[in-house]
Amino acid sequence: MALLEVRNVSKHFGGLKAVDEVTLSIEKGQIYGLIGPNGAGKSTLFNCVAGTYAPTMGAIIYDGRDVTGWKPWDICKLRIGRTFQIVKPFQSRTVLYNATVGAFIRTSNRSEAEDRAMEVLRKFHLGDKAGVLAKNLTIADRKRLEMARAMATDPEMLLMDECMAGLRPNEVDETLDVLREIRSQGVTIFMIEHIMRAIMSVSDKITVIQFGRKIMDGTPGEVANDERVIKAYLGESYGAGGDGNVTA
Amino acid sequence: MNSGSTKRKTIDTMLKLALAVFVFTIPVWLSSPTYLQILIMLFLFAYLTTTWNLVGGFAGVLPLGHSAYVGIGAYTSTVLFISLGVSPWIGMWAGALIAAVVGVFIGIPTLKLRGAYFALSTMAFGEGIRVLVENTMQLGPFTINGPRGISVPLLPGNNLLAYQFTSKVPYYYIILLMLCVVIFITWWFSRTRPGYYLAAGGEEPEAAQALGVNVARYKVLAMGISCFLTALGGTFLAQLTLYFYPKQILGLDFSFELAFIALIGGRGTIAGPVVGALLLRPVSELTRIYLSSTLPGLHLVIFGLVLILVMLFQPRGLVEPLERAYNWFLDRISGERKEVKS
Repeated sequence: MALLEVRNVSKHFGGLKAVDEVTLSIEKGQIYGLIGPNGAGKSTLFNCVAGTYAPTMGAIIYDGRDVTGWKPWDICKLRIGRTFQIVKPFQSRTVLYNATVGAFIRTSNRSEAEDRAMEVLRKFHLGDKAGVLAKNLTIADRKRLEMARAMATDPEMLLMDECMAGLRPNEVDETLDVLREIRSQGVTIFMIEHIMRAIMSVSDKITVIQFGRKIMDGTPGEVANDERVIKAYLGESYGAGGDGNVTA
Repeated sequence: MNSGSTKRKTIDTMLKLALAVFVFTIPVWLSSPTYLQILIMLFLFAYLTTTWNLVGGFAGVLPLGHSAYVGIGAYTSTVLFISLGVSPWIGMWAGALIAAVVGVFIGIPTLKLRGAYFALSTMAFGEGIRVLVENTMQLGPFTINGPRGISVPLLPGNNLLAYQFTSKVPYYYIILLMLCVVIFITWWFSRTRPGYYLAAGGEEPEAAQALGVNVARYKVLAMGISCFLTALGGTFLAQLTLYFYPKQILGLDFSFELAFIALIGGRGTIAGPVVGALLLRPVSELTRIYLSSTLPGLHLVIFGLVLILVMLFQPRGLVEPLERAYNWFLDRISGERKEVKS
C-alpha cells in the first residue's frame, strides 16, 4: 500500500487552477521527485499535502487515512516533516534552539528535547555550531538547519521544497549524500527540485507537472527521454529534434 | 570561556548580589515619600511591561490596549471591596481571572491578524472598554460612577487585610516582590515547551506550524497569562492611589507607555522592561511634576523621540548594548586583577 496518495487534487485561487486534478502515489522508502517549469504548481501541491492550503477538490490519503484539509501542525504530528523553499530559521535564536523547537514534538522535557536536537544537529554536521545564532549562518548551513529542524520532529516522510537551490555543486553533492542517509534511516522523501542532475540521480520515481496538470510520471530515465517533458522545459521547437538530455 | 572565568563569575555574582541588597534596602535610607513614590511607579511599570512582554515580546505582536486589563483589575477588586467587603488581596484574583477571560476572548479573533491590524484592533477594544466604563454609572449591583471614577474607602492606620498602608514602604516591597516573581515567571516560561513554541510562532509562524506548533493557540495562552498578571498590577495601582478614573487607568497613553518602555528597553527580552522603565519613568514623572500645566503630554513626545533614536541605532532595544558594556566591564575588572569596587 502506498504511504502517501494524492487523489485528483485541485487547488484553485479564484479563477486560476494552480493545481488541476493531480494524482500520484508514493511508496514507503522511496525518494520521489516532483518537477516542472516555474509556476507549474509544485509548491502549491506541496502546500496542499502539508496542510498550508486545503485542496479545493480531491483527497490526500496518508497511511490509509484521509487527511485532506488537516492543519499543518496536525500533519506534522502524523510524522510528516517539511522544509521550505525560502528557508525560515528562527533568526534571533541559536541553532540548537531552532532544532529543539522541532524535537519538542516528542517530549515536553527541555533537556530531553535538547539532547534529541543535538543528536540530529551532529548528523547534519551542525554540532559545533549549536550555539551560533541562526541569522549568522551561511546559506548552506541554513539549508542544512532547515533539514535538521524538520528531522528533529522524527518524521516518517519528509517534504522538501527545493532544498538545493542556490548551493554550489559540491554542496549539492553533499546534500545528495544527506538525502540518501535520511532515506537509509527509513524516511520516505518527497521533493521538489530544479537541479536536474540532482533529482535525476537520487529519485526512484518522478512526477512532472505543467500548468497545474500532471504530464507524466516514471523513472528518471523515462522522464528524461519523454518528448512531452522536453517540450515543457524547452518549448515546442525543441521537442522533435532534442537529444533527450534535459539539463537545466 | 576566558582564563579568569571563575573569578569573572564571582565578580558577576557579587555585583548582582550587591544590586539586590541595594534595591531591597533603599527604603531604609531613603525617607522621602516623593522619591519612594517615583520608585514604586517605576517598579509598577516594569512589572506591567514585563507582563505585556509575554504577548508583545515573545508572541511577536504589538498589543496597544493593555490598560484595559489594568483597569479590570483595579475596578474588580475595588468594587468587590466597597460593596461586599471582600479584601483586595482576594479581590485581585477575581480581577485577574476576569481579565484573563476577557483577554482570551479578545485574543481569539484578533491574534489571527497580522502586525498593524492586531495593534489597531487591541487599541479599539481598549478604547471601547474605556468608553463603556465612562458611560456606566451602575453595573448590576455595583456602583462604578462612570467618568468620575471610584475611590477606595480609606480605613484608619495601617491595615494589612485591606491592602492599605499609611507609609509608602510596604507598597515598595509589595511591588518589588511582584516584579521579582513576574520576572521569574517569564524566565521560567521561556524555557518550557510552550515558551519555545510561543517564541517560534512569533518569529516565523509558518515554520513553527510545520514543526507541529498550533501558533494561534499558544498566542491565546500567552494573552491569558499576560492579562491575568496585568490585572494584579491594576489592583496594586488602585490600592496605592486609592482613587482612579477611566481616563487615567483605562487610557490609551497608559497602554502606549507600556509599549514604549518595552520597545526602548528590548522587546522579547527578560531585562528589557526593567531597563526601559528605569529610563522612561523618570522622564514622565519629571515632566508631569514640572510641566504638566504648561505642556501636558510632553512625556509622550519625548518617548517618541527616544523611540525613533533607539529604533535607528539599536533596533533590538537598549538591553543589547548594555549587556555588551557590562560584559566588557566584567572582562576588564577580572582581567586586571586590581580594585574590585562594588
